[in-house]
Amino acid sequence: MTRKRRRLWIVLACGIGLGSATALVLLAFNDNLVFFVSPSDLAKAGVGGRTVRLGGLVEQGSVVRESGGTTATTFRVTDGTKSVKVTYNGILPDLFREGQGVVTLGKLNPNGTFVASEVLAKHDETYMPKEVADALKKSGHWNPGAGSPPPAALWNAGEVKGTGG
Amino acid sequence: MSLRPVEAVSSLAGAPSSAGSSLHRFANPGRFLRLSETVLPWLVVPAILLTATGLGWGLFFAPADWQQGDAVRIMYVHVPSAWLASSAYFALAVCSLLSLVWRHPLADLAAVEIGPVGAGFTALCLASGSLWGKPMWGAWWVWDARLTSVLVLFFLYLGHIVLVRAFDDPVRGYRAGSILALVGVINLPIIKFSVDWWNTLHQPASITLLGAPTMAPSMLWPLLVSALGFGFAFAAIVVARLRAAVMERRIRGLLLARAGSRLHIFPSSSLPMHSPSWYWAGLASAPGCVLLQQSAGWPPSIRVASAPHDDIAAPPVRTMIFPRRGCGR
Repeated sequence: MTRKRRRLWIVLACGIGLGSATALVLLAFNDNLVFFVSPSDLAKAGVGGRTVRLGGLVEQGSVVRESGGTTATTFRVTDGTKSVKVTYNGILPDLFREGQGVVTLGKLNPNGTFVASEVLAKHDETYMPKEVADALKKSGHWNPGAGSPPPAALWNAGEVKGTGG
Repeated sequence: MSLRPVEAVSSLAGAPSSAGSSLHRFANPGRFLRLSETVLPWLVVPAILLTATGLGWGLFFAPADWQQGDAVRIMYVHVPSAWLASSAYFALAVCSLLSLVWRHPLADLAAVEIGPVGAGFTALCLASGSLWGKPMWGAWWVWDARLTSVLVLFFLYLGHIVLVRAFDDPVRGYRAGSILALVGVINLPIIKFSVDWWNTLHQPASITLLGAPTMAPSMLWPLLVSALGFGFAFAAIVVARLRAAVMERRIRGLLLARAGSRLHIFPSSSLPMHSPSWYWAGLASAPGCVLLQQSAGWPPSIRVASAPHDDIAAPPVRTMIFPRRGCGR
């Protein structure tokens, strides 16, 4: 075995060892590597008074803005199976709307309300001009409040223009 | 034997006699300088044209996003620099493997030169991402898996930059840097798949190998042109830096020749039995001395050139140690 080949095997062996070690560490810490928990996770694990991040979609028709000059807002965050009532007093990000993904930082009250001190908007990986979005909405292919847009193949192919006009 | 340091440099660094020479064909600095001189304009011109086209198109003519508005235009800088941050690290790792396993002298230099450029693009990616995050997400920075793993990539670049320059003997710096770069490769799949494996604030990829991009063509095209331009720019900067590094070595050799060097041959009898490389390095780092060659086989012998004694003080002759001969072993 030449010295080159031996060095190559050493590098490969170290790579395999390091790779599997990292994979095991990541698997072990899987629960701690998530940025936020879903409403289902929140219901399962008793997080008590701990500060956690709660993420999900803003439920359709759940946003209530308090009247009387305050910025207090209540809405429900859902992951499709469970939903949690969230109260927040502060300025919401521009992208905040019903059906939009949000990540909120706060604590769960004993009465089941999540009191948030920070609300971040989470947008999806879809990018389209306003005209395409309008055409999709008009043609009934997509309701932004209800979830993510139809597969890109549909609107990239220009079908939208035909149906939606 | 008469001393011709410059020739000695190029013959040392290139063309080892034994097998595996196809890889080492490109290790000859002279051949690299000739080849890269031809190639460089073909990198610089497309880099300028494509980057200008892509950014101009993206920033001024591409449509605004239906929900993000004009803020989406940060994408035309952010996404190409993010792709390049990872690709440059991959290139750094390939050079490190060539350097560590095959002792490829040009790969040593390439790894040193890629580091700062890759770090620059990673910094651009982090900065533009931060500027994009504030208006859209509502935060400059969050510690989610994607952002944190890219920050780790940035620190890996910084660590490599420091480590390869931290040794008196450059060869030891190359080895240490190679090991760091190869260890850091594990971070690349973590960056790529972080958005799929864990909940993150960062959205998943819009452009994947399988499946249609979730992006309107009017936004996709300027992005791809811009990314291609960034890629050419990276290649152009690295090739130009590498040319400068090779020339710098030559100039050191020429300076030494002008100082009027003498050749010392240390035969095997004058060296300790298992004389390690630091011993040779020590010999060669005496003021005004330079290690020209050490034998590939056994018994060891090295050749050290030194400037005449009275000349040492006048021209600043830098000590240098060439890559150990024996690339072909």
